[in-house]
Amino acid sequence: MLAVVGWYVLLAAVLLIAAPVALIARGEWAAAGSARAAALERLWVLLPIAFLVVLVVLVARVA
Amino acid sequence: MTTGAVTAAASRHGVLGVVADYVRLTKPRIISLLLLTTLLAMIVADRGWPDGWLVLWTMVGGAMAAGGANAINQVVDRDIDARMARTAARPVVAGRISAPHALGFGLLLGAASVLVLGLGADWLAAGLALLGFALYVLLYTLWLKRSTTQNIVIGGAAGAVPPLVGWAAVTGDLQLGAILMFAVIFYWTPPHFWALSLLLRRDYAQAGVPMLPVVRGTDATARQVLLWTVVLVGVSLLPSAAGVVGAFYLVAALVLGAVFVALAVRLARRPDEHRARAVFSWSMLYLALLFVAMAVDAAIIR
Repeated sequence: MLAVVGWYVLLAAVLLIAAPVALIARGEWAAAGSARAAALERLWVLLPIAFLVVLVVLVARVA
Repeated sequence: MTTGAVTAAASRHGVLGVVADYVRLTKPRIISLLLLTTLLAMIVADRGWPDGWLVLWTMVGGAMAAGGANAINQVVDRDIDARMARTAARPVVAGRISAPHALGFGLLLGAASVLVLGLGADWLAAGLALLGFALYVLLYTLWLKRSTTQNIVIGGAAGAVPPLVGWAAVTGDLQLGAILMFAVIFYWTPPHFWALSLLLRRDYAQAGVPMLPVVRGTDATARQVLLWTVVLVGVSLLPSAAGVVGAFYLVAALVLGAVFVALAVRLARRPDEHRARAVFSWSMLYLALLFVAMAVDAAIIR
């Protein structure tokens, strides 16, 4: 029972995270532009998004 | 200002004034929220109230590490602080403490914190506190703050370290619960600091700091606050999904998060200082209450 609830909560969390992260990534990727510093700016945008993916995977393994 | 002039200013100020300035150098109000998250992580890790001495040494060591990093931050940022009304009276900027003295004080606190945490709590906790110290000074203060609008997103990792320190002090290890507590603070940082930077955007512009409202404007920042707040609410559900905490925390996370999102939506619709202040104020209460709910669920209810 607890495991089932855990999966529903995880699904809700993923739904809450996915849409805003897609918007953030799209907007920040474009805003980084094409200057020399753009690669670094894009890395800074990608890091917190990659961490979210890692978190969801870690939780899914125990949920 | 020369060291002699600083000493003269200090003697006019009195011993208590000098002590107060050194305390101010550590930014005690910021430390209090960091220590709260450390303590509550210790309670979650222990599933109850941990040993009193362990709590004491962890709090003292954590305060020293954060205080040391804050002192060095005030040395490095004294040019920025001098151009901002909010920070122009800080001890180093005002010349009441010389930059070398403040730097030495910060480094001493940082080194002492490692010993206090290592000997009084756990060496993993000590290492994590040193990591937080280095992230704040080297990554955030010296590099990101002056170079990118993402400064507080990545730099937020430094402020998220305290629960790791608390957890490691209790268990000598880092489990998923600790990483999720770190994540909650990490994703709480953007909406919290961008709401604050909306209030201080003229100061930041004058000081040349590339905070988001300065570079992209008020509307774009308010939208980012809303997007990151929704991400935060999603992340705040993960401890329940992982079974680290249960239904009490889940309900608290949903209710507290709903208020946060409502305030962020209001700000995104019409960004003004009143609404930004409401988001900023709620963000601090939100984090404190969320962590209290986690501790109550782990220690009392479960």
